Order: sequence, then C-alpha cells, then structure tokens
Amino acid sequence: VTTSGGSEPPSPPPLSGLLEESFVLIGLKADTAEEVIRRLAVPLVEAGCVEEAYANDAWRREQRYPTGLPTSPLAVALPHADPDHVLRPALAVALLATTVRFDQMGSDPAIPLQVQVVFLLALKEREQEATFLRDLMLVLQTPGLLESLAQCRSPAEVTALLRQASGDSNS
Amino acid sequence: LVETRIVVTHEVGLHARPAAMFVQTAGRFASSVRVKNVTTNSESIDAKSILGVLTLGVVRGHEISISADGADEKQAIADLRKLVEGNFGESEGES
Repeated sequence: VTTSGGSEPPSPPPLSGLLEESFVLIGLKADTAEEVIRRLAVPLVEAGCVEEAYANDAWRREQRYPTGLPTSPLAVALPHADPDHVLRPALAVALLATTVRFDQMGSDPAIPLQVQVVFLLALKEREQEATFLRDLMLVLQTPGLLESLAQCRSPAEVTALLRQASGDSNS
Repeated sequence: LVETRIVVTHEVGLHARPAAMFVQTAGRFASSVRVKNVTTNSESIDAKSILGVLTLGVVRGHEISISADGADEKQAIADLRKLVEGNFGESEGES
C-alpha cells in the first residue's frame, strides 16, 4: 500500500534487471493480440513472477486501454495490468513472426497498428509505470534499436541488446 | 498563445489511461498544443503525440506546462486543465 502525498514515487527497477532470457520469445506465431499476451505470460508464470490471472487482467485492460505505439520503423505494444497478480517485477518480450493488430494507445476511435514487437510488463507498483515506460520509450527510440531488435535470432541477443541500450540511455 | 501550469495528482501520473485521455483531448483542437514536464525541465513536446507524452515521464506530483497556439487555444487550455484538475475523471483511490 502506498501513501498519498506529494512525495516522489520510488524509482522502478532498471529495465535490465527485469528481463531474463527465458522471458524472450523469438519468432512467435500468433494471430491475435490476446494470443500474444497469453503466450508472453507463460514464462512469467513459470518463473513465479506473476499469477496465472495476470494474462486475463492484461488482456482485459488491453481491450479497454490499448497499448500499441507507432514507433518507427516498427510498431510496438506494451500490454500490462495492475499489480494485483504480480509477485516479482518482470518484463517479457516477443518478436512476432508476422505482425499482429493492436490498437494505438490514446486513439479514439481506435487506430489499428500492425505490431512487430510486444513487451509484456509486470510491475509491482502502479506509480512506477510512468517512469518505467519513459525509460523504455527512450530505449525504443534509440536510432536503429528496433531494427536490430527485429533481427535478433536468440533470446541472449535480445537481452544483450536491450541491456546495452538501457545502460547507454542512463549514462 | 495561451499557457498554463498545473501539478498532476493522478496516482499513476501522465501515462496509460490519463496519457491517452490527455492526447485525445488535445487532439480535438485545431490549435497546436504542446506540453513539457516542468519538474524535470524536459523538452516541450507535441501534446497530440502519445509517444511524446509518454517520454515526459510525468509522475504524481510533477508540474507540467501546457501551451496552445491557434484559433481555439483558450478552449484547449481550459479543457486540458479541467481534465488534469478533475484527476482524469477518477476519484482518489479508484483504479
């Protein structure tokens, strides 16, 4: 439980600390956003980071508040849910075999996006989300980062690339 | 050009649903609308861009500056102020 007041919320854990190789899915074949979210939740459940209900929560929230973002040159989506079913903060990543439709965050009426990379975010503190998303957005807008990410062929390459990019953006 | 400053008090800051509502509201106006995070002394960005707004990293307690320039600038500022002051349509503690 967090106290209300004007104090600064705690900093989120660094991106590199949330990502493990087993949370990276390369060439994931999926037809729908729901399928992507459910598949991404599997390694997080297996690692004890989230409860099984997290996937349902994230999909429910995605339908109400879509998380697709028109990053260039590849669109991404950042599904997440409230921390109710998060046991340990984590970040899962899917590089999709073919693009999947997500709707753009903040669009009304919905703007469909063909998304290539999906990050499933599980944080324990709601208040950390804004700071974490800012850090992730800065990493994703590093020139050439998304192209390099899409070309990764192994989970180790993905974690190394993201760790390097997030380290560079903080220095 | 009209400008206003306001402290964001929403629990999650300016991201997720609040960010989406902010961008949608700004997008309804013909005026150019820009926003910056005063607390972190960020760049001023296009308030109609969700990517830009997320990059501001506005958390609870941060002060933002909103500026609008155009025919409907006053209404744009009034509506955006109302949105932030009204805690994005949520009462305290509601998720």
